[in-house]
Amino acid sequence: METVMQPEPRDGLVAAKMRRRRLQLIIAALMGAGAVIGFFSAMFEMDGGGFMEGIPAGWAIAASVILFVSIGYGGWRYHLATDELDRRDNQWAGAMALNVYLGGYASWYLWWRGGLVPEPQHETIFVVTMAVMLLAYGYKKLRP
Amino acid sequence: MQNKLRVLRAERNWSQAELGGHLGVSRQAVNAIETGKYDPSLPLAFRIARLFGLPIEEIFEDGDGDAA
Repeated sequence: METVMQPEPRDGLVAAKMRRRRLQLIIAALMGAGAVIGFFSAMFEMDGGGFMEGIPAGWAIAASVILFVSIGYGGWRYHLATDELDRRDNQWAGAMALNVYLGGYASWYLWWRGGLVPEPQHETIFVVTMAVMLLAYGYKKLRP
Repeated sequence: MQNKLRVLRAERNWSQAELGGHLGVSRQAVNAIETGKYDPSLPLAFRIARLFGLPIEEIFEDGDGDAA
C-alpha cells in the first residue's frame, strides 16, 4: 500500500494564520493610502471652499499617483493573497457594480437630456457604484 | 457536485482553517466546497487530491456520472 506523507496539522494552522495576516496588512495599507488621500484633500478643501476646487494642483496629481500605485500594486498583492473563492466574489461584485454604473449613468443621462431630472452628479454615481460593489461582495461572502 | 472533503478532513482531525492552510485557501472556501456551494477549480481539486493521496474522482462525485 502506498504510503502518503501527511503534513503536520500545525502547518495548516500556521499557514492559515500567515495568509490571514498578509490579507490584513494589505487591506490596512490600502485603507491607509485612502486615509492619507482623504485627510489631506479634506484639509486643503477647508481653505478652498467648494468641493474639489480648493485642492492645489500638485496635491491633486500626487493624490492620483498614490491612488494608482495603491490600486495597481495593492490590487496585485491582494490578488496574490486571496483564494479563488474570494477572487470569484470580487469579480461578481465588480460585474454587478459595472452593470449598475452602465445602466444607471446611461439612464440618468438620458433622463437629464429628456428634461426629467437634473444633470448627472459624478459624486453620487461614484458612491452608488462603490456601495453596490461592497454590498454585492458582502452578499456573496454570506451566501457563496 | 458532491464531495467527501468533510469526511476526509474529519479522519485527520483537521479544522476547516487547518485544511485551508494546507491548500492555500480560506476557511470560508473549505466550508463552501464541503457544503457544495462552490465547486473548486481543477488546480485546487488536484491539490486536494494530492493532499489526501487520492484520485480526484474518489473525492468529487459528478451527479451526471451515471448518465454516460
